[in-house]
Order: sequence, then structure tokens, then C-alpha cells
Amino acid sequence: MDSRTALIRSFTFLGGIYFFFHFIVPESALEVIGIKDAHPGISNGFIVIGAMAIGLGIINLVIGHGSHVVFKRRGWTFSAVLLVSLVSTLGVTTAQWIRNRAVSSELQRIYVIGEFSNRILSDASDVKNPKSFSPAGELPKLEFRVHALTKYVREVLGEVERASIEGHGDGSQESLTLREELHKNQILLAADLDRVETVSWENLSDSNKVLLERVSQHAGGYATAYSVIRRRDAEQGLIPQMYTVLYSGIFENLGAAMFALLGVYIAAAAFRAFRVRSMESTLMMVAALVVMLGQISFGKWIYEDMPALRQWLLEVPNSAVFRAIRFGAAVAGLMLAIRMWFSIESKTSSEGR
Amino acid sequence: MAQSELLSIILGGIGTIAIFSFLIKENYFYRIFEHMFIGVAAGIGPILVLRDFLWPQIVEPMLGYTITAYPDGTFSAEYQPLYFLYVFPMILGMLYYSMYSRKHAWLSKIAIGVSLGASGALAIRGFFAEVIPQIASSFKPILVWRDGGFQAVESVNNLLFVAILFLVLNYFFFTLGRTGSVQSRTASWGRPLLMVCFGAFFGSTVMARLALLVERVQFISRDWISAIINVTGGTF
Amino acid sequence: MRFSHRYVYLLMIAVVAIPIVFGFSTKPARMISAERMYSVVENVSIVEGDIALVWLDFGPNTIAENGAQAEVLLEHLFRRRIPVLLLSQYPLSEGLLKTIPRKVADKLNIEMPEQEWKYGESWINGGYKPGSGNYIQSLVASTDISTFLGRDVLGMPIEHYPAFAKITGVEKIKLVGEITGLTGVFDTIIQFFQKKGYRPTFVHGCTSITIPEAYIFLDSKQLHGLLEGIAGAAWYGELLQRSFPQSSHKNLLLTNTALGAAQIAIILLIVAGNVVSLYSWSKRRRD
Repeated sequence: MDSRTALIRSFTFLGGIYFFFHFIVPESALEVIGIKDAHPGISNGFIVIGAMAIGLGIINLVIGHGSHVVFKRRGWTFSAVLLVSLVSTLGVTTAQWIRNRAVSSELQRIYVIGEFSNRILSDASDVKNPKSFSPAGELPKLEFRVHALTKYVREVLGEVERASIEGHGDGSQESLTLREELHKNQILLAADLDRVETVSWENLSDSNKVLLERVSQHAGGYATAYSVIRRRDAEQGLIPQMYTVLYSGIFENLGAAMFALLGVYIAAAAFRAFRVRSMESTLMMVAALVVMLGQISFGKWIYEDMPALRQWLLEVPNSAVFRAIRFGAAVAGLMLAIRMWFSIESKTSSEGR
Repeated sequence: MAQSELLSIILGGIGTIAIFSFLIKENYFYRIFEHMFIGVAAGIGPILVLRDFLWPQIVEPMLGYTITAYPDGTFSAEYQPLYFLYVFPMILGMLYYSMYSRKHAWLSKIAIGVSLGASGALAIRGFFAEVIPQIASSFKPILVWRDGGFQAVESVNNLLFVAILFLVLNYFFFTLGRTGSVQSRTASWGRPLLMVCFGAFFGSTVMARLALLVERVQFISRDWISAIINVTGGTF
Repeated sequence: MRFSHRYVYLLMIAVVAIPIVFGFSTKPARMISAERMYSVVENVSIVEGDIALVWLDFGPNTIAENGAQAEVLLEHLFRRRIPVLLLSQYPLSEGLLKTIPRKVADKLNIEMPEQEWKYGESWINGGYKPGSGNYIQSLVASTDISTFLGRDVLGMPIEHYPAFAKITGVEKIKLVGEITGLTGVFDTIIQFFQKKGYRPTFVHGCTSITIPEAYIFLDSKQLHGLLEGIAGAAWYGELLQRSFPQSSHKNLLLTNTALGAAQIAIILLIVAGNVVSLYSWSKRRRD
């Protein structure tokens, strides 16, 4: 075995050893060595390896069909259509993603109000184990935190008001109701801030707790109303409409049509190929008839208990036969898995040539 | 109805007719839409891997973007440097692209190997998780007594189930048979039983295939025609 | 005997089109496994913070069956006010993750204008998750699924949605639904969506092709409810209408009736094929 082959086989074996040990080692032992909590992260690491291959398909299609177009080989127009659809889909899906991310970042600025209020509350209630992290080591004083909160909320409210004046929404009744909801929560939040600014924040008294809880609650209502308005706006643009045309118009309909061809092919096959010539084919035919008639409305017109007969056929003889088939397939699958893990399944994938 | 929805239906209808034209014979119209379908289908997956997995579950935690910065200079959580270890599987995954270099193509087998090894070991776990309950439920009571009485129908069904299971398993034991043994003499009994199962399969397959045809006919005869009438203002 | 198969194609399209064009529908056949599934979903009990996880792992190739199944299952869960987290192991279901729950919510919002079903409360879309079994076992092992998932497809942190903010472990998932025509994808749920002391209440909507296979999991109680193709969805719709009389599934009944007519046509084609074959055989013998 050359060194490259040895390296590939070692990596293949090491790739599997983690999951094998995770399977056989008791959970309590995994907890002691700290693997239990880290397991989702480690598993994701393995998925990342496969996920990095996302570009392979695109590169192959571009190389294959691109050369058809460049050298104007036979059928190059079809390749050009494929490449244009591929690039359009990649472009529109990416643009849609970036757009949604931009809206989410904008919304997160509002959601932070509620989250931060709750954090101030929980950190002040449990001073020894605060959830927030401060690079300075110690968390700022309560008074400073509340002041930072009020300043931030006023900033955000101003931003949203300006954006609101610039005109979001499609003018529908639903949109107007949402604006009313946003306005109502804005007034409530502003009133909360006025009260927050008038009381002392030396300590977290019960009345102060209630005040912060109110800020959090109204900020939540405000954020929800604003997010619905912004999401509706985001759905109206050109990019989402292009996405609808590409996915619902082209992909869904053409995919469904491609597979619907099988519906007529199976009819032709039923006429041309299903011959009752032996005892075994008769059995097959009878079972097929029972299943077909048992699942349609008209089956009952032929025999009242046809659905029950179909159910029995599937539950008893079919399940028993299928389980036997499945046992065979599962054992074969297990052997294949072991052979893959130990690099004895296929030489082409484990030899360093 | 939004304009994009209307356009989708009209385009979808034209595409469906183009694909169905293959039933007459392969033609230019069909091939154009066939390639369009492949192009769109190939373009969806890669962005989704980035958008729904690599970005939110790997890159963002690695760069600390999942941590919220509060207005007072504090943060929702402390950054976990361990997330930076994701760089290693990323580098390993990048080896896939070495397959485009004749000299370094063998390196891509390392990435393939790790994925194969992990899948193999996981499949071992999956085997036990799936098969053990199957084995357990195959041991059915042949005489069922419940609610103070003998359940004749259930008993007969259980007996049939177990008998069929063993007969079909016996049919697949190609290595054990010796001419004249009970096993070899009863092996052929599994065949007609398999035919019953395949018949059930055929019956079910017919329903699945026809459902696709029904859906398309429904789309053309209802949605598409309505959209055309809508666009032409009823003059169609 | 020379015979163009194009006549058969035309016949099939005509048979399917007649009930659809004339709006002729019949009551669906009773599907016992769909009844079991209905009762499983009806009896799922949740407290605040619990959710249902539904995997929509199908694309346009099986939308005819899986689409209808997803609609009836989501309708039932929405009516019961069980928050639904939608995920997919199949990238080509991307658009359907968005359109199907929206369609169901719109239907319910029109039916009951005094109530509201909306994104973020009734459901969220976690999108496509690669990695198959590896991802599922990783999700199951996570002690904070809301954080583990990160963001929804809109780019919002899952923790921002109150109904989905505290999925502290897989135990919070009271029902797992898998709507797919792909047996490999279904197998990964059977194999990996479990851990010591936890096995989900699991329901499955399958295409008709995989019905015979799915029955063995019903028998072993690894699966608790099954929707069998359009027929299963149609019967589930019928059950929904019995409990909620306003719930209408006219289109589904129409599809099911057209499907029934097409199956009768197939049976007649098999019989005709055999008669023709027998006739040709006897003619050859006579000659």
C-alpha cells in the first residue's frame, strides 16, 4: 500500500471512529469526558465537510454546458438555456437571501430592546450569576444600563418613525391596522420611557421591575407589528416576484409535468405488459386489484368491505413479506457500511492514484 | 392575484404542455423546457446549504455574530473560541475541489473518505435503531387471549404473519440449502407470497403515478385556463 | 396487431379530465391508518413551549400526493394551535416550505376572521438542513434546539419567536411529522430521531409507492400514523370536516375521484390487454 492510499484509508477510518465510539460508549461516560454537550457541534463539523462540496455541481454544469455554448456544439442553444436558468436562480436566490438578512438586521435592532430589558432584569435579580458578558469584567451599574436602554430606545423609535413616514405598507386595510398597532405600542413605549427616566435606579425595587417588564412587553408588541409591516414590504419587491416565477412558475410546474408523464406510461404498460399467464402472476394481479379497488371510492360499489380487505392485505401478508425483504436489505446495508468504513468496499475511492 | 403569480401560472401551463408534447415525440419545444428545469433545479440547492446551514449554524457562531451587543457595551454571551475549530472541516471540505487538478486529484479522496467513514459508522447505529424494534415486533403471540376471551381473528392473523415471514426468509437463504432438506423443499413457497407483496406494490404504484397526472390535468383545466381568461379579459 | 400507445395516453388524460371538468366528486374510501393518524394528532397534548416538528421532504415530483397530505396535517395542527417548526432534508422543497403553510393559514384566516394564524406564532420555517442522519442525530442530542437551529429562512434568530424560543431539548417536540416520497429520508427519521428515553410520536405521509414499506413500521410501533397517498389525505380531510364542519376539501375530493376513475381505467386496460393477448394467441394457434 502506497503512502497516499494509507493516508486516505486512515482518514476514512478516523471519520467513522468518532460516531462508532459515540454509539457504543455509555452516555454517562460521554458526559464525564465532556463529549455529550459538544456532540452537536462535532457532528456539524462532519456535515461541514460534505457541505463544502456545494460548488461541485455548479462547476461541472458550467464546464460541461459552457463548452457547448463557447464552441457552438450541437444543441448549444439548450445548454445556453440551462446556463441562463442556473445563473438566474443562483442570482435571485442569493439576492432574496441578502434582502431578507438586511430586513432581519433592521428588525433585530428593535428586538434588542425587549431582550436587553429582560437581561437587565435577570442580571440585577441574580447578581452573582449574570447572563450578560462584559469585556471589562464587571457589569455596569444598573443606573448606567437603564440609561443606555432609554437612550437606545429613543434612537430606534426615531429611526422607525422616519422610515414609517417614508412610507412602508401597501395602503390596504390590513396594512393600516398594522400601522395603528405599531403606533399604539410606540405611544405605550414612549410613556414607559418617561416613567423610567423619572424614577431612581439605584436598586431594583419591585416597582422598577414592573416598569422594565412593561418596557419589554411593549417593545415586543412594537417589534412584532413593525416586523409584519417590513416583511410584507419585502415580499412586494421585484426579487421575490422573480423568485416566485422561477420556483413556482418554472421549477414546480415543469417538475410536476415531467413526473406526470409516468402516469400515462404506466397506463400503456398496464395494457401492453401485464399478462396473467401463471399462478404467480394471477396472485400478483389479485393483490394489485384488491389494493387498487380498496383505496378508491368506487371499490365499495363492487364489494362493501373492499377497503377492509385492502387493509388486511397490507397489514398481514404484505407486511410479513416486506419485513423479510427488509431484514435482508438491512443486513446487506450493515455489511456495506462496515466495508465502507474499513475502505474495502471500493478501491477507486480509497486508492491514492 | 399578484402579477408574479399570474405569470407563474401562465408560464407553468406553457411548460406543462411543452413537456406533455414529448408523448407525441421528442421535440425542440420539450427540450428547451427540460433544460430550463434542470438549470433552475441545480441552482436552488447550493444557496440553501449556505443560507440555512453553513451561515447560521457554522459561520455566524464562528465569527461571533450570534452574540448580541447591548447598548451599554455588554454582550448577550461570551465568545466561544472553540467554534473556530470549524475551520478544519472547512479546509478538509475544500479538498473536494482538488479533483479539477490532475496532479492533486487524489487529495479529494481524503474528503470523500472522511464523509464515507462517518456515514458508514452512523449507518451501523442506524441499523440497530431500525431493525431491533422490527425483530421484536415480529415475535407475535400465536394464541391471543385478551379481555377474558380468545381472540380468534387476531390469532390467525398473527400465525399467518409469522408463517409468511419465515417462509419468505427461508426463500432468501440461498447458502443453507441442501437438496432434499426441509429448508430446500419449502424454499419455493416464498415465491407466491412475494408475488402478493409485489402485487400490492404495483397497485400502490399505479395510484402514485396517476396522482401526478391528475394534479397536472387539474392545473391545466382549472388554474391555467382561468389565468388565460383573466389575461385575455374573457375573450379567449 | 399494431396499436399506437398514443390512444392509451389520450384515453387516460380524458378519463382524468372528465370528473375534474364536470366537478364530479364522490366520498373517499375509508382509510384506517389515516383514522389512526387523526386520533394521534388529536390526542397530542402540549403545554407552553412544546411544539410539533414537521419535515416537508418533497418537491414537485411528488407534490400531487405529499402536498395534499402536508395541507391536511398542518390544518389539523393549526386548528389545535400547536406551533409547528418546519424543516426539510430535501433542498428542492424550498418554495413549498413557504407556500403550503401560508395557504393553510390563509384558509383558516378566511374561515375564522376573528382569530389569526400567522408566521412566527403558528409556524416557522427553519429551511433546508443538509447532512441527513448526521444532522438529525445532532439535532436530537442538542440541549437547546432554538439556539442550535440559529435562524429561520428569513434570517431571524429562532429565539425571537416566543412560541419557539425555548425548545430546550428534543423532549419539547411532542409530534414529529414526515411528509415525503423518499424512503431514504423517511428511514433517517426512523433511525436517528430518537435517543435514550425518548422516542417521538411519529406520523408519516407517504406517496402510494412507499405504502407497502411503511406498514412494517406501523406494525412495530415505530410509526404511529400514516397517510397513504391522495386517498389517505382525502379521508383525513373528511375526518377534519366531521370535527370542523366549516373545513372544506372540495379540490381534494375532486382529485381523489379523478384518481379513482383513472384506476378503474387502468384495471380495464389490464383486462383489455389480456383479452387481446388471448385472442392473438388463439388466432395464432388456429392458423
